[in-house]
Amino acid sequence: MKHLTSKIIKTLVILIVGFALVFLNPSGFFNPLRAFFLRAVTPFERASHNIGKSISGSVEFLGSISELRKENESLLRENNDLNSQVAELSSEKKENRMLREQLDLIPKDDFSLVSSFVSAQDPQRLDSWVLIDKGSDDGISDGMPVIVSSGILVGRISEVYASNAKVELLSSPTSSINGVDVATNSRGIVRGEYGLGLVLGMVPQSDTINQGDDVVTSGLGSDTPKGLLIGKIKEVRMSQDRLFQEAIVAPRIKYSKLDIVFVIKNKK
Amino acid sequence: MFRRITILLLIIFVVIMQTSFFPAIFSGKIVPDIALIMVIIWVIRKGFEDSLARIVTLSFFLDILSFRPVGASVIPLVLIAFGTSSFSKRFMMSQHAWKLSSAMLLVFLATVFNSAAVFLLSRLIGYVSSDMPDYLAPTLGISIFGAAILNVITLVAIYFPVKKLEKFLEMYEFKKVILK
Repeated sequence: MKHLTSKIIKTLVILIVGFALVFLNPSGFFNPLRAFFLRAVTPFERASHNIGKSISGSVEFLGSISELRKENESLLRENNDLNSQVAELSSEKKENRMLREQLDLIPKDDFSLVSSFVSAQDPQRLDSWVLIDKGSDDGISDGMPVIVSSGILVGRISEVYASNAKVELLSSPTSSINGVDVATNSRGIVRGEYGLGLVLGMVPQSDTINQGDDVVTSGLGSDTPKGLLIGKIKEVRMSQDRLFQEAIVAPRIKYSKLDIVFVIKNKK
Repeated sequence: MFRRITILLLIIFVVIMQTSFFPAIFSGKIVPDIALIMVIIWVIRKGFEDSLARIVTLSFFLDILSFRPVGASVIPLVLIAFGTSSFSKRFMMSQHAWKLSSAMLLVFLATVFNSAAVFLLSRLIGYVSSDMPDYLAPTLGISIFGAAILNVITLVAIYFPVKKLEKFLEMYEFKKVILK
């Protein structure tokens, strides 16, 4: 009985301290400690992340051996098609540049980018973040957009430490960013769906959004530049309150497979 | 001292596995929760009170490296440890044959409990908005079930190596006492 009482008392004390710390959340109190540990473990996290990625890659490769032959044939066919498209695209490139200037979209070459490696990821399913190995020492600050090399937006910097930064991915439930349907120019807010995908919401009933349209950043209300690709509209439906339209947006890349990302510091 | 340092290194290793290695390997929605598994193994092997310091340290490092408010992990993990300890006493888990199978059942139940607790806690502190659409519930449910199965498989893979390490540390301490 005595043993049980001591067990219950210890549990209660830890729970009370735990709740107090969580709810009082002494803002920034643990941040120096967090920055210290992050600096200390980042090399190990990066190594372990790389090992994990290579194991995952090898397993995927072994699983796909049987499909390689088929894939090779289809790639050869695709290569021929692409060769013919290259000629076509070179003339469209010029036109694209002109249109971008008219729309005030920024080509990705115009950004000042900081490349960084992903060293850790969110182990839970509710939140969605990655840790990168660049921080305030490299000029990174809160709110900076993060893209992959092809100009696809993946998230924004949410916490900065000396040599690390936390990137809140677009799929995070607390993430929201202004987006626009490229084809119809309908605007809305892209928010994360608990790590399960993205939704373009708050689109007025009178606007048109179509399945298959690309969604890009609108550049409103944040430091995120206009014209960064977010994803493609997969499905259009009514919002739960039936006041707005919303669209499920399929991201162009798998956020869980991020390896190297680029932080947009500013426009050149 | 050697034992404490080894345990501390093991805890840091577990946290690094949890935040970088497993998410990279599984690169999906379901990732094994090695911290939870370690808590259950420790409580089954060493009892609640002897594992408490380890659990608190593990939770602290987990919160620090997972960007959660410090204290967020200790609440579900200590409750799980308490439940595991009560379960092991009631069902006489001193018998070897029962230990692993009971641990498997406990890991399954604890994963479900932990997911619910983390979700509720995240809502309470505003980490997750309270207007989660209904259509996401089944997907989250399936992913919790998948995580529970994955955790059971991970437990089977690490149970004996952890047991060996604990035995080695016990032997080391025992030899040191004898030599003194």
